[in-house]
Amino acid sequence: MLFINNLTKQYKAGQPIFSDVSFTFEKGSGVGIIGPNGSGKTTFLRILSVNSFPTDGKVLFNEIDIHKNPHQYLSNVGLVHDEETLPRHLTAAELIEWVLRSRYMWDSSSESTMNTLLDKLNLDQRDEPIGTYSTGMKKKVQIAAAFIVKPQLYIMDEPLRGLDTTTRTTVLEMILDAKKEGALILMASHSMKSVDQIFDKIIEFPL
Amino acid sequence: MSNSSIIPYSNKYFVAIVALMTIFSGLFWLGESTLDNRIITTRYILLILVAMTAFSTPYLLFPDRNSTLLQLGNISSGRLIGYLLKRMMTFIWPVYLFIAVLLFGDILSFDQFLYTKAANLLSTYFIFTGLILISITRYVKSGLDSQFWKESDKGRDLRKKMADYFKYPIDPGSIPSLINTVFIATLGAIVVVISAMIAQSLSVMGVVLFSFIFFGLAVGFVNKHTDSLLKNYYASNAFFLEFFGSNLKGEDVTSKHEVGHLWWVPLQLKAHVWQFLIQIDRKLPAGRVVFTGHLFIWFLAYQKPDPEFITVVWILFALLHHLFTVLTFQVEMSPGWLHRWLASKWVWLISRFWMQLRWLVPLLLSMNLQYFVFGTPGFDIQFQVVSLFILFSMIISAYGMAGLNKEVSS
Repeated sequence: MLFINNLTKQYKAGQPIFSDVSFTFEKGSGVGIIGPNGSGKTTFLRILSVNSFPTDGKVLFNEIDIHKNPHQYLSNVGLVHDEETLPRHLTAAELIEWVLRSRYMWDSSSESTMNTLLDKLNLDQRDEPIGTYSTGMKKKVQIAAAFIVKPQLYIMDEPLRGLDTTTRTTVLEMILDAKKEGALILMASHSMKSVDQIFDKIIEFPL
Repeated sequence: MSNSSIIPYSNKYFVAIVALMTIFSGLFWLGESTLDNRIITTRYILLILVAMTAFSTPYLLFPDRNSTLLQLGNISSGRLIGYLLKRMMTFIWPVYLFIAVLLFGDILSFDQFLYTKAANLLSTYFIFTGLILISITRYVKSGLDSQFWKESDKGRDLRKKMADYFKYPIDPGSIPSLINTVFIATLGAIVVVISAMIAQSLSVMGVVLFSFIFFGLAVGFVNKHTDSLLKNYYASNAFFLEFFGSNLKGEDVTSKHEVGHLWWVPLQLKAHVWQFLIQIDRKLPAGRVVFTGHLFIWFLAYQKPDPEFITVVWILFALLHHLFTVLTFQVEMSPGWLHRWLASKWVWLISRFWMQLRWLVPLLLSMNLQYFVFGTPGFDIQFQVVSLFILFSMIISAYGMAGLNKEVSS
């Protein structure tokens, strides 16, 4: 499903974050990415989410070169970034509606699907602007936006950080369900203690 | 702590392009004009700048993303005003250049009337800079009052009364800003009118002296409030941060914008245009801003100035519409990762372009009505204005699209 061929990334010449890395990830599997701060986990995930470009090598998703056809690839992806910004003047409900409409997935049942998902995540302030949300609430919005489109591939950087205990459990269940349905899960985390049941493979950074 | 380090330097190519365009525009407009025409035009421009300063200062200053850095550096009140002025200058330096080009960009008699041109330049700079200083100080001061009106029972009662009697639920938190806008616009207009009267009845040196006194008073006004400036800055920044986030300057958050209402947008772009319109209208009342712009041009047209002048004003106004597009470049409106995820860069280019088409009908109607009433702008001018509107819409949207190519590296 996802083939990483001889991937190298360096911000400065001669100082690679990682070099010549190759992996193959199959659908329905969970891959944990662990490592200390600054070890390259986020850079790796940014390359896979086409927010960063490799110095060398390439990434193929079902034979699509993701950096040459980013839009085609990203239509199959759900993203949860670490500490990423969201449009502060939109409400959570509007953001989800926008995401669904932009993928032509909005129909008569979408509103209730969206509300069910936001209920599950305990996001009651869905009609308030995102600019007023706490860090945890913003994380919930990102998670909702990623899961609502039912992607084939989830790329998540510390998705549980900032969440309360109840929501953490809910999100873990959602990830496990997605995996059972055949999605590939790529998830970075500082700690594997509570999430090890998701993963079939662990990649430890620095590589 | 160095203030300069936290204000990002503009891209030198961008600065060069803006400077060249400014110089070219000034020369194109008044390159072959008489001295009198230059002075009168500069005065009109100053009137426009007065209105823009009165309205736009809080939008340019607040909320300030650097405020946490300023707190970390524990900046003093004295250095704060320098920092704020510098922030304003990053936006308005082309205006200073434009005024200089209008007065000195004299192709036919470059080395003539230098004394008069320099005196007019000085007086214009003194008035404009003085007004900016007053505007910064007043808006920085207004945060605590705004917070009071927004959060107190008194403010809530006022909101209810306004909604009951005028059927317009004004946000009481915006009242101090509204008062500031009216005060600064009125003060600026009075100063410009008095300076024009002095120029006609006394001498050009009289105008310089008058504008210098005004500038001195403005500096005195800033000095008077220096001690409390820092406290007020933090209060105002916090207020505007909450105001633009939780309760909105533009349309009320509870008002529903339906995607289906955008009949003029193709299906493929509808969702993207829809979210832009919601965000812009919540950041500032776009419709009312444009309406005010139209009113202002009609006010100018009523003075029966040179038709060339009105033409340039229409062109500038048409181009200024695209500041709404520039607004959408902000990370808080258009996070790069989200845009990359949801659509291709070409879709974003066309979406931003299409979003701006909503202003074309009012623009055309207003120009046609003005042609009918005042005999200007003619159809050829209207064609030029609309063409430039469309061209700039494409250029600015393309600039936003280029921003999506930037790699996220941290």
